[in-house]
Amino acid sequence: MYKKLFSFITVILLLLIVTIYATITGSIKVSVGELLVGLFTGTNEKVEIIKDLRLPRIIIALFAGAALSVSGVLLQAVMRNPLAEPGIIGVSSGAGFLSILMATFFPTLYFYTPLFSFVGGAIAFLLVYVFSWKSGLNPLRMILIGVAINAVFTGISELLKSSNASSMMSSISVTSSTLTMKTWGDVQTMVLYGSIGLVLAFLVFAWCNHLGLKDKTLNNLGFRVNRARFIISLIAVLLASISTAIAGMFTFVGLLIPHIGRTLVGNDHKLLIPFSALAGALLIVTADTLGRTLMSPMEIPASIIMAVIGGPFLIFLLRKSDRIYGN
Amino acid sequence: MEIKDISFSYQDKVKRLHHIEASIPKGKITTIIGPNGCGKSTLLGVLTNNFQPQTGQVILDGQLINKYKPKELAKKLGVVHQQNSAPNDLTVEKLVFYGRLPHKNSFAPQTEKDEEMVEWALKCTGLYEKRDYPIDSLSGGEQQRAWIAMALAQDTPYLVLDEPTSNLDIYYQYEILELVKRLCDEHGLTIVMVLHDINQAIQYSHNIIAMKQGRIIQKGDPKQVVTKEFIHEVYGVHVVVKNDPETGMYVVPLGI
Repeated sequence: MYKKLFSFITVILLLLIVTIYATITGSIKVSVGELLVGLFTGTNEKVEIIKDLRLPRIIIALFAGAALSVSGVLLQAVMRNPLAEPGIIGVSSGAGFLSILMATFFPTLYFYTPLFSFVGGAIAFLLVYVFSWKSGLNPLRMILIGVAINAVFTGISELLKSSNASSMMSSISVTSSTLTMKTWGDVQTMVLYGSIGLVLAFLVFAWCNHLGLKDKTLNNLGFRVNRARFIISLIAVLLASISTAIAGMFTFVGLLIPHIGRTLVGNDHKLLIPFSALAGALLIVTADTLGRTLMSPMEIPASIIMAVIGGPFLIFLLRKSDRIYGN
Repeated sequence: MEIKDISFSYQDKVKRLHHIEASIPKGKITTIIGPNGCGKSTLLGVLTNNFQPQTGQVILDGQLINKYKPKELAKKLGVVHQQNSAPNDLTVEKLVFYGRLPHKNSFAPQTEKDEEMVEWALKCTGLYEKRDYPIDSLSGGEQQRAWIAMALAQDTPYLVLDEPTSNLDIYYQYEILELVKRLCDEHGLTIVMVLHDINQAIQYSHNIIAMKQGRIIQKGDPKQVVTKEFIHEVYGVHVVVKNDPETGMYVVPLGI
């Protein structure tokens, strides 16, 4: 119990510290005092620049991290598969693909990008689900089909981009994160849909727990398994596609964070979902901050930093504990 | 429970059940026996509404089983499957609380009745002291009892058990069987189960359904049904059937 409480407190404190540090550091530096005064009075020029350029990307990084991690938790519950993750099984690239497709052929509909993303993510998920269903979901088959779907969507997206390099959709990427040049309009979209998704995800935590039992057991308990699966999947797709639409592609975070969460706070989704949201936000905002300060003025995409620090950390955790998901 | 003219095949179109007719007497223990692959588990799958038969009907308390709403059926019929899985850090008590799902909304808090039933189920299965243990720390027999406790918490008049004694050593086998007998005698539950051991089936059941190749060969009181010829027909094994005043009826296999 103390371990769980300690984990929560640690991740919340770290999140606060990193977020504040991220706000005051970079090519323009201010002190915490200057920042607070500036934010409220609007008289400090440096703080105004930070507000316009840096704050949106930080907020987006926080929400994208939370959304992707929780999306991973939900997909793992739905598919009972420790490897399910929006990046790996193609949900994110499906979302990115449809966004790019629409931006290529109907650039005037740019405003609806979040919607296209959601539809694209849902299509990709549906394809994975349908193709891997063969009187039950075989975890291995599912991952392989997910990888294939992911490859196809990523490939077509890259093709569209390279054949049309000058267009405005350069802000959408299916291979790496894009956190630069974010506006408060992007923040609005991310925060609105991200919050809806996160609140919904938390509301269905009991269903996610139920899915830890076998389908036939749940049937005999009168639980409508497929309905729950469908709804949880929709929430997961919403979370993954909105982050992809706004923040670009982060593979791995939906895999890494839930695993860390399971070792620290256990498999109960009542704790796992909020913990993953916090830890995911922490991870991406840390990665983004490192990315823009390490080799300044050059920027390293947050997704790359995250992969580099996340990979070894996951291996370390897996070596330390022999438990993987429910087995 | 009435089973009427059930025929069933999986997607491969091979018929697994041929016109099964049987009736499960209320408040009694009915045991389904038969060789591997004879359709015992398939029949249980149909009885518990996990499989939809191509023909025939299962009638539970005057209503077709597939016409029940999922939760209503789950209030009538508890099932313990042969293979179960749950997250490894789930505690016994939390697992048993899943048995209360049919009686409440997933999002609603636990009521006093829920807690009473869970406590009863834990005590009945002798797991009350271990309620806070994660299930993967329990022995095989305790795990099996935990799953039975979950079905008991469902508070159903019918309980279906698929090979509840498989993979257990002889002590735990009898522990489970004694528990089943108590549930029937003291709490009036109607039990349907699959067993492999003929002597256990004779000892613990009021009613036997013997199957072979998707058909019912014999059914009724084990003392009348079980004979040397019957065992040879069902299993292809030569046996002697003895009646002993001390042990009752028993079967000793001789060979094939």
